[in-house]
Amino acid sequence: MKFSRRKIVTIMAGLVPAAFVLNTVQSKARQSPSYDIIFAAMVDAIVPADEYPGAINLGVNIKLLTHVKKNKNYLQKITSAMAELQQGAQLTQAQDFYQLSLDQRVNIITRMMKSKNTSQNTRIQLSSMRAKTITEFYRSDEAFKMLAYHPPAYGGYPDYHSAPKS
Amino acid sequence: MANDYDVVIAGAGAGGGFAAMSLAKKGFKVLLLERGKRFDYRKDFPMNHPDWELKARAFSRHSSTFKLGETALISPQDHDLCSAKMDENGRLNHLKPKRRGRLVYQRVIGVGGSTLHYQGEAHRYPEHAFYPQKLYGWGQDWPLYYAQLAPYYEQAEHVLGVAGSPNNPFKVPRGDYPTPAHPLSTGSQIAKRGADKLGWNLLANPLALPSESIDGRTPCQHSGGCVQGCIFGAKSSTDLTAIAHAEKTGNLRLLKNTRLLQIETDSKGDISSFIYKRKGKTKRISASIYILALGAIETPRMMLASKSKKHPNGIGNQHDNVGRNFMETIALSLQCRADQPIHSYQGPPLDSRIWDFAKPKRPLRSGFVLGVAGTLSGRHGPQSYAGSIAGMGLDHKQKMRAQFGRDIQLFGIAEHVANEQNRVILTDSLDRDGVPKVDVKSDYGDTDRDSIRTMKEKILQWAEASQLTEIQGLYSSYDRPAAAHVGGTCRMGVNPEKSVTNAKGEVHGIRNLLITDASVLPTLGAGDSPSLTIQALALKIASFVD
Repeated sequence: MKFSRRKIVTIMAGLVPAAFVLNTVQSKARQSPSYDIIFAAMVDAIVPADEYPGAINLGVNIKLLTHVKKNKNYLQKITSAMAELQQGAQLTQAQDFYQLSLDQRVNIITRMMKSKNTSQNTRIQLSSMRAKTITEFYRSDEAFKMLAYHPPAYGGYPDYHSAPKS
Repeated sequence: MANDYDVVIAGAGAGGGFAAMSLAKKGFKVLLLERGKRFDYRKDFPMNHPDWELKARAFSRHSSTFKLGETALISPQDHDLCSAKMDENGRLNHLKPKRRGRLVYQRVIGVGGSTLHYQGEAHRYPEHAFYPQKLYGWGQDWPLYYAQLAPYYEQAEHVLGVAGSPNNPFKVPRGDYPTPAHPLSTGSQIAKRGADKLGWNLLANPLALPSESIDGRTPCQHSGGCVQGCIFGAKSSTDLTAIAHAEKTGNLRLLKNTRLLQIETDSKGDISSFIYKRKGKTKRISASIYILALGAIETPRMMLASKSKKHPNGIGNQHDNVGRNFMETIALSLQCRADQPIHSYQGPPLDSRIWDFAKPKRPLRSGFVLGVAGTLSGRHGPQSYAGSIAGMGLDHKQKMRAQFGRDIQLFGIAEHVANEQNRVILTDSLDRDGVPKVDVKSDYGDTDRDSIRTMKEKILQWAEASQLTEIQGLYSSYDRPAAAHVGGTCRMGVNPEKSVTNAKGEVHGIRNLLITDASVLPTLGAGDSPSLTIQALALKIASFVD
């Protein structure tokens, strides 16, 4: 699934309010395309939408980035990793990362996570963001609906012995 | 000097709690010392929150790890007993380690002890488990027999509100359980079809998870979260049952966050006091009777560490038996996946059992039980499950939908034949309270290896008959030691030269020291869970105190 321009506009619209409060240091950190676009494209690749919503539909990218931006050093590490991800896309596909298909993005992230040619920081951040994206997505109500799951705190499971419908 | 209390008990777990209840009800003034805190099931257990997977586990820091000694080597001819992964050709590919891994002793330090995280299995040991030497030529016979323990089993079952069915042809006939058995989970129903084809009897597992309200408590809500702490207060952990009953008598004083440091003796060699630490201060307490209920590793540890003139090798260790005959959990588990959604995280985690193989058919063989589990692994909820699947993208998402809630484990647990070389030993290191640390030496004998081989054969047969063809791997306690059930380190026996306590739980040669925990067990019940036996024994031992 290509990361369409329409999707970029949607994501940017969501980011505009956040953009207003970004300071000049963050503005200087942005490259073209901006790191948050690459970040959103990465999150989308980790848990994409199919017949069920994906991670960016639930705003997982915004939530993770909001946390990242609270710490200058952390933000620096992420922007550096996104820059290297973008570079990887340019080198292998001669395209911006966000323009690649879903499969292409998954392949690049997976390869870069394992490759010794990738900087240690980028390997760490990609691995960490994979884990965080998965955690954030699978704690959501939408993910629970997808799995027909509800936490035990909501009254236990009185029908545990009846086979669920497929 | 008058004693402060009639009885002092160290350890508020399965054995200590039931001994405290029995003695408090008889009118004795009981002081119960517990190293840990008292948990509030409404607040302290992570599953109270919808976001429970992100919450810290209540019992995560309580385990200890032991190296098992330099002799725990694995010979290449025994690699078929080790854990295995599935290869691309659908065959089990056994690991080839050179030695056994470390033993992780998972326990809970808190009021209720390890009943706080157990899955509630409430088994009466089979009759033959009391006479292994006489019947099969291994181990040591108990100094008491099933019929003598039966009334106390019944009493313990009523306190716990055990849910079960009396129709078990492999156990001594009995009356109804206090509450009805839970219906079989979907996973157990699938495994039952396979068991039926093989002519085996898959039966409901008796569980201290009452299916109806007892003592005003909520009945089991089938949340599957026993190991995380029951958020409904439904699981009959000792804090909510025996200790609660003891407190109602007005004769029990419970000191939490209180650690036993040492045992002192008098000039005759009897116990004169317990020294404990609480709120940073060390204190001494005296009583007429002292009871140790710290568990199969901590009780011998305390005894070995408390040396005196009359006990130069440790309390009750005149024949070098304290700490010996350590028995660990011999277990094998095949991780499978059902081809349909079964919501395996729901329901009592260990809801069924097969006892067809518990009674050995030949000398020098020990018995084992088989069972079904859905949620024993750490991958209980969506987040941890998703985190365990490699990859990302649509492939990952589709695998998650195809796999989550479909896990079935077919497992077996066997008797560990007592061997005096398997033991708890003191080390030269001290912990931060100045108590010597211990290590555990343990290995399998020929009978134990035979048990693993036979269990593996049966479990694979069972998986095939149940049409569970999607297999992820095999776990074996041979290379990945397990300590869910441990015991034997202060075993009871008739001969003081081969045991530590007598049939009354009295430490040989000491007038006023009893033990009421898993360390007194001479056998591990052919794979049955020991908790109900520990509780029944505690009641029986307490009955002798007058």
